[in-house]
Amino acid sequence: MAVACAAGHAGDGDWLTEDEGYALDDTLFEAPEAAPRYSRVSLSHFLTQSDQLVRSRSLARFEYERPVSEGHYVRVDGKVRRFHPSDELADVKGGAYQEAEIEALWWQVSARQCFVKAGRQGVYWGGVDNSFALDQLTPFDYTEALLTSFTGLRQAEDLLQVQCYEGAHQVQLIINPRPGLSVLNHDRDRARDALEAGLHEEWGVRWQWSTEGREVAFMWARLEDNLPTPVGAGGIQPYRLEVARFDVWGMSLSQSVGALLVLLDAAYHRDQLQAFTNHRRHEWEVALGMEYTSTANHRYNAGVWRFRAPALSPAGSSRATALFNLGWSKSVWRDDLELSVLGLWGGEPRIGSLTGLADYQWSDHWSTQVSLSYANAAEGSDIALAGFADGWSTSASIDWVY
Amino acid sequence: MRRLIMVLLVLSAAGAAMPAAATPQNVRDIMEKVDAQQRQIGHQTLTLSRLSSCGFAKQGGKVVCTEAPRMKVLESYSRQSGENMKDSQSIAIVLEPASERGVGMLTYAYDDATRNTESWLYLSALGKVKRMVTGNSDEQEPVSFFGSEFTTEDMETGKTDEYDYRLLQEGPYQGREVWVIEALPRPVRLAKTRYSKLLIWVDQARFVPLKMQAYDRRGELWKRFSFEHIESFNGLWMARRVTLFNLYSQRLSTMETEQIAQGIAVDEAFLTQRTLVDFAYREQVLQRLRQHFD
Repeated sequence: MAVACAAGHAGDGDWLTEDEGYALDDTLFEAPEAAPRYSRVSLSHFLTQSDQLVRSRSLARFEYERPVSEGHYVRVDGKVRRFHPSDELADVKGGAYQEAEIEALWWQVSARQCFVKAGRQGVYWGGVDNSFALDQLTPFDYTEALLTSFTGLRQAEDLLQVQCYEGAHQVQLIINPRPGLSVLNHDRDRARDALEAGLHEEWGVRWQWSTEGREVAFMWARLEDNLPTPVGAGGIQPYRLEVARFDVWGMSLSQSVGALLVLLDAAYHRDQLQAFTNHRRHEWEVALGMEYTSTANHRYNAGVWRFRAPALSPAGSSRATALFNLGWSKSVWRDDLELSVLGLWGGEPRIGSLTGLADYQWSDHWSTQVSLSYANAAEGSDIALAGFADGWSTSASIDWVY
Repeated sequence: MRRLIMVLLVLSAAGAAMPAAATPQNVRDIMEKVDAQQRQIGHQTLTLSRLSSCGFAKQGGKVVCTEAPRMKVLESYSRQSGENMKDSQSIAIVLEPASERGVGMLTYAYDDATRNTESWLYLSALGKVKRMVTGNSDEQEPVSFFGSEFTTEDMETGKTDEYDYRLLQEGPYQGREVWVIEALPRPVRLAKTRYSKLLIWVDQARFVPLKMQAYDRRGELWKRFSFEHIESFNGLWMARRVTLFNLYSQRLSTMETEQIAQGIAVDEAFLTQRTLVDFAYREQVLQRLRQHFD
């Protein structure tokens, strides 16, 4: 019997024969360090090439987090990005440069049913991937490259968060004394700095209820917009930039039905400033999404985000539009290779893109990503700002982490 | 990732007396006892586990890695609940490798086939918790367990009613008296398993498997599991090292329980979403639990 012989057995009649050749040396695997590791260092280089743009940038990142005493915890996350001479942002800046940023610098204190977290951090509401109906608390960083995930497209802010838990209920309070604007590039100007200095505090509250298969959340926030809006000035300069202050009421739902997860984000904006006018109006934004895992563990996600696109010129007008997305991902080879595809398309402003990405983990420390994209985007679109260029582009990155 | 702790195959030394002759029904009793004790070790248990994998070859009668090993270190706490302790709640945090450090997952698994497994993942880049699409694990194809040769199917417990058992032989093996038991999947199991047959060597005195073999759909030997460093904790026997040899891929994975604290209760709130985001609270509770490590 081939099977039994392969196993080292004499045959079907005797399963008690000792196996040979499977002795495992106790030193085969080196034991990990006894002390816990609190830090992480990562280095990476990223390159995108297309007919219209080149991105060539390197990243060094240091993270450190640990409990400092009972009920106290700190985290620091800092990075330096080097934009090489050929990079599109180096073109804007006038040459190669580096930019240092603090992604996280917070202190968390936990007592009874609550925790307080103060310092540089991100807060993200809403559950529908690739949509921002509710994710407007922290601004965007459009200098980050976008492939098949929008995760890196946010920038943290200095704020205070209080969160309390009681059974199936969560309540969250956010206070941001000094909000900022989205970053388009690193060529800061005085006008932008003046606008940012004039922003008022933001604050919001969120309540969530969880039950088997479902999460429901309601929220309210008073926010400053993430980008300035041109409005009529009535003087020599016909238009000036103003940052809108508005209220948001929101609701978020996630409901699992078997291997299907249905997500809904809905937001009602009061007093949303209209571009090139001095008018304000109340608006709805809704995002509906689904995620599905097949029996063969293919992961699919789809979503539609309906929002009002601002007028792009004084002659234009804001219009209701929708952005659709469709994604797929699959892990193979014992999770060493992650394949993913993301398609986006919308009508106003016109945008369409399709990106395929392969992420391969060579070892516990090294990984590489390779992607191929085709995009077609109108100028002036927020999403176009995230780095889409008409036509084909290829990207590659190599990452090391310890 | 679900039922992380279930890989620790453990049996009670103080169980009910087993029948002297192993009839078909008695063989099932043996396996149900084995399975029940596996769940018991996962109740109110904190473990620090190391999962190591590499390609392997045999040299001089010993197994050697043919490439640099990959290693994951996990800290997890689990609790059993429900009828016959077949439901589980667990939280697992990845400590190594650095690329996955801090990833946390909370899982509620139910024995009732009509209830879906629930999982929440902490997304460190966004600092928020996301509900994962899981569905009913019985309907999903097995996937790699943390990138190792182990699969989610290898971690399962509470499925003894999905197999027919037969005693093949009994006698001494590795210096201990064992039952060699064949487990053939019933139709309900055949629809979702990749194995056509399991052979399990069960220690008669400690009710702990010493060895297991899994066969593919063509009936050929696919995986060989060995259970070593068997120790007793709180009256439960546990294999602190489980090694899987995948004979097709010539790769092996070893799960070693570096530290364990069993039978330590924590507040209900610990196995909730709070633990994924409230690091100060999580570390506060874990520090207390770690004091009970063996």
